Amino acid sequence: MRKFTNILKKIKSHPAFFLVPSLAGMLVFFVIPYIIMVYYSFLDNPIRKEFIGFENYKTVLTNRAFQTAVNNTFLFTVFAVPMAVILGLLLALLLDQKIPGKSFFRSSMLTPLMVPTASVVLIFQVLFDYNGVVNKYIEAHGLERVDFLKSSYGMIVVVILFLWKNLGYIMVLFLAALGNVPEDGLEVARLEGANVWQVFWYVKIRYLSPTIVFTTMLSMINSFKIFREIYLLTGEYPFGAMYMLQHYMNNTFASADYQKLSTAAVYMSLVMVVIIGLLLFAEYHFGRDFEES
Amino acid sequence: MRFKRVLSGLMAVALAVSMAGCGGGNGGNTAGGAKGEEGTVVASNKAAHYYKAEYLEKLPEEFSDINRAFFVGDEIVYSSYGASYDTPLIGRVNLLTGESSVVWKKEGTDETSITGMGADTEGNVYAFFRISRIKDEILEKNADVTDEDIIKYIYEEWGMESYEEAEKYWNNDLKSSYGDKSMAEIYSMMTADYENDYIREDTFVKYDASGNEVFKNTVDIGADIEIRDVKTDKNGNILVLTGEWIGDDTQNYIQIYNSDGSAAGKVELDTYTDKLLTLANGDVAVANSGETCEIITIDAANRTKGETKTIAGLSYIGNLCAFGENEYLVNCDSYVTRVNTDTGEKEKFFTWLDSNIMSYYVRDFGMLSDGGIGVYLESYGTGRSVDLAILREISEEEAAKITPVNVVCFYADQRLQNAALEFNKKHSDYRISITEYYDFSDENSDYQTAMDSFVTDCATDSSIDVVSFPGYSQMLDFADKGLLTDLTPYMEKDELIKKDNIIPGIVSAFTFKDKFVALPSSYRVETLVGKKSVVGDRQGWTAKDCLDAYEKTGALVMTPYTDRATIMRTLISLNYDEFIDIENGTCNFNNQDFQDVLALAAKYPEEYVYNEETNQMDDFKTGKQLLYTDSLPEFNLGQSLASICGEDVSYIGYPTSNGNGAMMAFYGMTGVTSNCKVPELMWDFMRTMYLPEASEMMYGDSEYYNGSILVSELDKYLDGAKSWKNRGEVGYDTYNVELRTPTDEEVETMRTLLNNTTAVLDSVSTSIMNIISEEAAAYFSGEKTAADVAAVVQSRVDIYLSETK
Repeated sequence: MRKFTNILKKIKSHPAFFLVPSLAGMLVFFVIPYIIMVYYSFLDNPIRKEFIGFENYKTVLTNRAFQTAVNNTFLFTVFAVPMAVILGLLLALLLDQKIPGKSFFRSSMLTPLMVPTASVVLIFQVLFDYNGVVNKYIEAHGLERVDFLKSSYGMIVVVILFLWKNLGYIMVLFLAALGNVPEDGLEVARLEGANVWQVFWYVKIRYLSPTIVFTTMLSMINSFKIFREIYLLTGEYPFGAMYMLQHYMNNTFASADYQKLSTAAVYMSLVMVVIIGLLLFAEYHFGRDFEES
Repeated sequence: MRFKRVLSGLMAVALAVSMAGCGGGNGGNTAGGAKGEEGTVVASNKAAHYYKAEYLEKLPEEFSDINRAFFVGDEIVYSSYGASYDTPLIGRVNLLTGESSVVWKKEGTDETSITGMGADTEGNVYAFFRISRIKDEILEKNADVTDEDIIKYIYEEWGMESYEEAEKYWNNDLKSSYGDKSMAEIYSMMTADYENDYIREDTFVKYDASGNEVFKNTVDIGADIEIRDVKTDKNGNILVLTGEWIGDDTQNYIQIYNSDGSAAGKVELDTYTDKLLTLANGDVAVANSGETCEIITIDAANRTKGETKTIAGLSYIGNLCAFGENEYLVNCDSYVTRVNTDTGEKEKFFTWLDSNIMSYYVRDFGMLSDGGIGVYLESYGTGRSVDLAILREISEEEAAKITPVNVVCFYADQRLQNAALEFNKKHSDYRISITEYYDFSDENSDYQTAMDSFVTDCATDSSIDVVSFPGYSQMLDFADKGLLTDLTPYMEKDELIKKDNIIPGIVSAFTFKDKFVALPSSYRVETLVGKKSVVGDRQGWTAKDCLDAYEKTGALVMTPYTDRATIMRTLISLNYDEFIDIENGTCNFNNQDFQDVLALAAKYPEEYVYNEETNQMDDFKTGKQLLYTDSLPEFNLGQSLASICGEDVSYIGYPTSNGNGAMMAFYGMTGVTSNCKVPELMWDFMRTMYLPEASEMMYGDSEYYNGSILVSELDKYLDGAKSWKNRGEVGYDTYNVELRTPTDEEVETMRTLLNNTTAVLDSVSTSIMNIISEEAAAYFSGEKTAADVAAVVQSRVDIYLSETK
């Protein structure tokens, strides 16, 4: 009992000790696997385990499938993420006004979050299949059917799916942030003759900047998760325009190409670190600029 | 305060646990790693016990030409046909003492035959004998029969094409086989009805352990009844397992006799079984492989089935023997499993190969009184031979002293097992252990799960030395990943299994990036044959040629016994080189040839429905079907087609834009992994599969090609074909054709065709075929054009191939 009390005393004097379980978890489930992954990226194959330097990095970087996946993922992220953030903000601004049925719209925008992915995929299949509703409509207007899911148009379908699924909660986040913009600041701006645009740009947007950075990060993370929907829509080897980085990783895992999988994962993690770093840096600068002013 | 500390501690633990949940997830499907889950195949070769076979060196002379053999106690009791099938006998051999004796043997001109036998644990042997002869009045009726009558009968009743042909057959082949029998006897034998025109005398005899006759009763067991086994239960009842074939069906009974041999009744069984089982408590039971595997005790006193105990987890019961109270050893092909019907326990007891036994040869096994396991083996090939062995258990430590060499395969075929056995006999310090990924005896076996585990393990398990691939495309995938050793250095040192002596098409098929990565244990070639007057003699029609022929003649170009998916797979395999470049990871489906392939496949039904009225030979003869599938290098079908149609035929081949239209099918493709520590030893193991002896072991010396991949063996076969005599007849549908000696020209045509064949059957991976089939469906249903489908296939397959680079 005395021994136990002593231990408790020691813990009390070092409160960081409580972090041990958390750190251990991080170490076991994130850090160590990451190190193993990096180790694998320098081997020729999991059987022979010969060190081959940066050969895998060269191979993966010059691999056509990887290049296609990076290109598609980049294009998707570049288009879908800003669109999601901008449209989410616009919707929030709209619902921040005094309009009838505001709460109904607000909650209805959140419903896509409650629909299971399989159902979402089914709905989009019904809509965009070669024999789907959209094509029936196109055909009825005398136009030729489009194979949305197996052509370059596939990316548009995926962007629509992404926006449909994510706009709701982005809007809610912005609505919350808009509610936190101090009314006196807005009042002062209006008294000093600022128009609606100027109030938005010079006041509201400054207060919203942390939320913009946060929703952008969240949307980027979600943009990588779009693989799940594409996989369910088109399988492991989709039409070229819909082939994402996660496809590459999933397929290399399935074919036990662990060294390529590890290398691609290292590349992806590095890019993510850079992007998130840039966003945090931007947020820090915007925030500081605003706080100083 | 204390509460807060505890709470924060709990929260920290909860966080760690929640992260564990995060770490365990993955966004995609799993590749293998599903070992041990319910419904999967566990590819573990580890057995609970290790045994070593001691073969009995001196077997009695009579122990040959075995008909049936059963283990009873320490003895094996057997019936033999005798040399030339005319001196049947019943004998016994004690495996522990080596003593043997003959219980009964046919003497002189006696017409007695053995219809069934069995033995009990007391050492008593039970036998059923039959004397059957044609009734005197039938012989009297046929007393004046002459050669002409017999020839006329053969011509009219046996479907001979002409009287002359029947006469030739009678004089050259048949007459001598009847020995010194009179014309009346021969004619009567040919025409008599076995049920009504014969006198049958059946006797049931019991011999004691010393071979003395205990009783001999006259019984009536029926004309078509077969007796499969005889045992006695603890109450002295004699149980006789019988069966009667009625058409394709069998009615199975256990006839019960009192201890004095008098009939006492019968018990009807639901399914076929060929062995009775004496349980540890003295009861007699049968093993039933119906919907569930069961052990059914026979209640002889009440003439009914008694207690039934289910054996869970087995898809069928092979041979089995009682091991203890409610415990059985069941032969599951490559291994023996111990099952307990009371507890439901099941364990892999030992593997045949680890015991130096070829599982394919095991016919029966039984527990001996000293704890050993007696095994009776029969092998075929160059001749039928029998062996007896005793398995003695060795400790795990002793087994561990030998360095294991790991061979993995989907299912170990006979050649692979034999090669492993030969290797194990030759090397005392190394032991090949074969791991199978698909278990036919396990009712939970799932093909895809087994395949996933196989692929993952082969790509990640560094302890694997040799892989035997179930498919050519899988072998290519592994070669592409650099996981296979180049066999060239070992082949260069080999005097027989060298590149120059391997069929050229096989050399090209297994050379990947200038490395010789694997070898098949056997191969065949498939092609299409057509009437020369209709299809000409240009080999390698294109899909367009076939379509044109179809439009022009309305005839089905290829076999009607197939479906669209099979045709697609065949056509893509044949045009593999044109459509797919696996070495560079590119494909070329966006072309007219692929569109033609789609159009040709569309002519076939989505699902083939068997039609018993289809007579392919008639269709071919009348021109309703242009090309007929032939398997080479046999000459039979080509000769038969020419004979039936009355004109020359030519090997046209399957539609392809290059090559001769023929394709090779490979079996037992085996390669050494790049991580193998003893590649030279593994070559020593592998080469056994390609030796002429191995091929002969499988097929013997016959007119059927043994599948050897060696040029020397193929040449021997083809050159030998020129001197085949008295080849006999073959039947196709309603046609019988007298085979003749192949001409020099035919042999050389065959040789050229085989040497120039490069396409490989099923060379396209399942993933690519799935993509093609998936997209082609839109074309077949008329929704998309062939060009649209080709574009999508091009994009998707391109992704697949480029991913592998």
